[in-house]
Amino acid sequence: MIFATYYFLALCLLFFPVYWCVKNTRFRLGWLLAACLLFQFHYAGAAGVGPILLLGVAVYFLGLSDDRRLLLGGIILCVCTLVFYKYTVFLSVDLIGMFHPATGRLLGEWVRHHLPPTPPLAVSFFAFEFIHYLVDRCKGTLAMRNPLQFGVFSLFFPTLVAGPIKRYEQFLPSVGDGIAKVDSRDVMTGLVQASLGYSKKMVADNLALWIAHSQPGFDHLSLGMRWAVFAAIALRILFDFSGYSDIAIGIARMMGIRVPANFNWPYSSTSIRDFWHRWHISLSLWIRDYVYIPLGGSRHGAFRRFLNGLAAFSLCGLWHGPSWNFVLWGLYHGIGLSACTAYEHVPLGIGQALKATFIRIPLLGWILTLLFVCFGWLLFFYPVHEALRMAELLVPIELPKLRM
Amino acid sequence: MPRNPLLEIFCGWMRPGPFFAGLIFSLLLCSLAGRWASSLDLYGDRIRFMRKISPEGYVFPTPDHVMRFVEGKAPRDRILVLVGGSSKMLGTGQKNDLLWTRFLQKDLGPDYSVVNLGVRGGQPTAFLLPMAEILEKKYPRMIVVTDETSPDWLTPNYSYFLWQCRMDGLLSRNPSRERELLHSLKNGPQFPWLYGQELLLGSLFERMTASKNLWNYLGYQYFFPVYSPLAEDVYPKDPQFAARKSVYDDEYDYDIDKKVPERFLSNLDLHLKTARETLVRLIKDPGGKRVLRDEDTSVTRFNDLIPEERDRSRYLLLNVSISPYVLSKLSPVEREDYGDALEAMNQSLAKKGFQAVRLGMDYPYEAYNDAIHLSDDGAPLMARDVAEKIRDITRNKGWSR
Amino acid sequence: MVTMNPLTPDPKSPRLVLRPVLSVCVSLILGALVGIILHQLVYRFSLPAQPFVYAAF
Repeated sequence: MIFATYYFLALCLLFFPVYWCVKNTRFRLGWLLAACLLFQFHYAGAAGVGPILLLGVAVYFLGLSDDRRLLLGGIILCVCTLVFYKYTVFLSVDLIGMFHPATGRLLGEWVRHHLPPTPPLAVSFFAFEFIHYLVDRCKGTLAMRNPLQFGVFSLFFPTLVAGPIKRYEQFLPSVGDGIAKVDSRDVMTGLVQASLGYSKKMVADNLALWIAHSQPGFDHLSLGMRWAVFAAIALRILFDFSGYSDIAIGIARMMGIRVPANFNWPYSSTSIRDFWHRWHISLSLWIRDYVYIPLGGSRHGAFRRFLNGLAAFSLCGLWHGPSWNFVLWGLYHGIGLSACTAYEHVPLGIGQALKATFIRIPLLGWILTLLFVCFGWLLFFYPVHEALRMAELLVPIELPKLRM
Repeated sequence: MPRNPLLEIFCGWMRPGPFFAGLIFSLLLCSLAGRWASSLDLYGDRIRFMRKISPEGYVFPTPDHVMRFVEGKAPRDRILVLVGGSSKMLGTGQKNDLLWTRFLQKDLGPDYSVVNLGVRGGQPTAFLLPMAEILEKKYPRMIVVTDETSPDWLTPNYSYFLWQCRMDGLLSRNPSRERELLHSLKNGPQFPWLYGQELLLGSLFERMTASKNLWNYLGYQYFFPVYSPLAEDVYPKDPQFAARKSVYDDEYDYDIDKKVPERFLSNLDLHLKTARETLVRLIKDPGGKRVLRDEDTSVTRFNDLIPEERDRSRYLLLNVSISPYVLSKLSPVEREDYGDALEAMNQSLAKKGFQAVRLGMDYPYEAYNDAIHLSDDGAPLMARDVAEKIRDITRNKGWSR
Repeated sequence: MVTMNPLTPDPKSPRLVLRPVLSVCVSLILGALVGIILHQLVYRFSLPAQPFVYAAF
């Protein structure tokens, strides 16, 4: 974890005192950009800084234009970059390989030979932020003309690696405010939030070790222990991810820059729709604004809404990783969300009765949502057959096997 | 876009001044507490760094604590016998009461102090050689006992120790060691926390904050904050997060329950292959004598790590043979060659000024609990042979009668 | 730097009036806690992310 390295600690110890003491806003912006570049150069990995810098330069210049064709070209370039670095192996081995295994394998080997062993650092995040910028430019929003501001937006090191995904029209004024007005209260709040994030990470790391240790012997555990592991998986992802976001938001706040929260007590949700308003908020809003709504959203009837939801969520799942279990996880949530929206329309009064029940007993909605989400994590973390096997082992009764 | 209302409210009525005062005060207090903790003989109730109190169990003893460990066990007026290296030196599979270094202490008598710094998967560079260098002045009468090093210079998990000794200014200049350390600064290793840069910066932060010293102390005495699979997997089981001082103190090995030859049958082919690999290192010189083909890695490494200015005759390298049962599966010619190969290495080491002794080839099968490690039965035999060599060395140096 | 006075209600955030002494004490304690967490982080960063179990073959 990048935030848990001594290099990052040393970077912060060098960066912040100078940032706080020198009150010149232009200097602060330049200093911040320098720190972002240093961060990128150190943590870039095998793929190097080339992809993000080149793509950033291209998007900057394309974003200055008002020509929709150029902007569209930029969007396609961003999508291609993301697909090329992150999904080429998946497309060759898992997709083409599904129909023609030999070709898929050969293609996969060729691709692996020519691609760097790891994709560029935070390719998913910066690709999405560039796409958002260019799409909003198509809609007529203002361009980021100041290259320093664009650089900070693209490379902002606290949020670069694991979000939250930024929107430039909220981010830039926040940067401006922060740089001009950072005070001791910002630093204090930021430190408290970052410490909270690190504490959550410590708990998550312990849970992860315990899960890694217990999960291979899932069959041999008692029913109670299986549910304990199941709960630990759900808690681990929450603490891990929200901890990381807290650290990112806290460090940004120490610069005076306010970044929106990414998690809002997600396991207190009483419906799937509510869950996606509380979990990885920046991603779900991005998917809504740049995938779901452009596909038509809910404007073309129930069936189209259902399909758009499935498409949006499968892409959301795929964004997490180039693997079928992520796609399935996304589809799982897409189906869940559609069911959550559509159940009240079930005829013969059943839908209305269910709705009334959930209103009368919110606890029921909470339990069902929590179980739904937690079972979803099995799909997220484990291959499909493993996830289904674990789910089956959690149910104390013998389920009838499907016969062909 | 949502903000975090609870945190905003909470931080809204807090005061930055007292907050930062509390922060700085607690950081200073923790650092001072760490300095105080570094002066404690934290592991004094232990006889060795068995795996639950070693990096394998997420416990990373600091140079300060290892120094206190040695000083607590070795009065200055005695001859210090500092033992270290891999699990063979640690005594994996030997119970505490039947540990070979206990027998060694008994054999050598009250004029000597034997301290065991062996660690599983460790090389002499892990804890032993840095400690030997640091303690040279305090213990002018010191014998350093180790086994032949593996091809690896240093198991990554023990790198932190060397970097910390270096950062604390405890080690003298050694170009070969510097070369290896600087090489690791540029190398991209398998595990991110082991980047040379991370180790360098980590040792710098440790020097400034003494945090490992403090949290090792708290983890040992009160509450260990890291989940360790080892606590559950290795017999006997220990409760998670329990203070490390309460973990059961032993290096029990399941293989010991097995009878000969069952103990040796797992990975037998691999062990035979390793034994045969030593044979190809032998050639005959023009005089018909068996010598090593070229400078053995171990010999080169010891040559580089222990400069000639240091008194190499105090360094005793144990050439512990592979188990006699495995050797019995070789042909008689191969067996003889194997013994010659170990002897040839000893002679190469002797030429460089080191002491060396070959052990184990004539021990009974029961003296080993697997292909490499000596058992409770083998411990006194190893101690006897090592004690004899140590007495020779100290007699030659005039340290003893 | 502009330091905000917590006793002056900030129009953007909800008002919460507390005794000044309590506010100072809580701030001090929280600062100390954060300091302890930061000190422990220097130790935690050195721990491996995956377990290392040595196994002699």
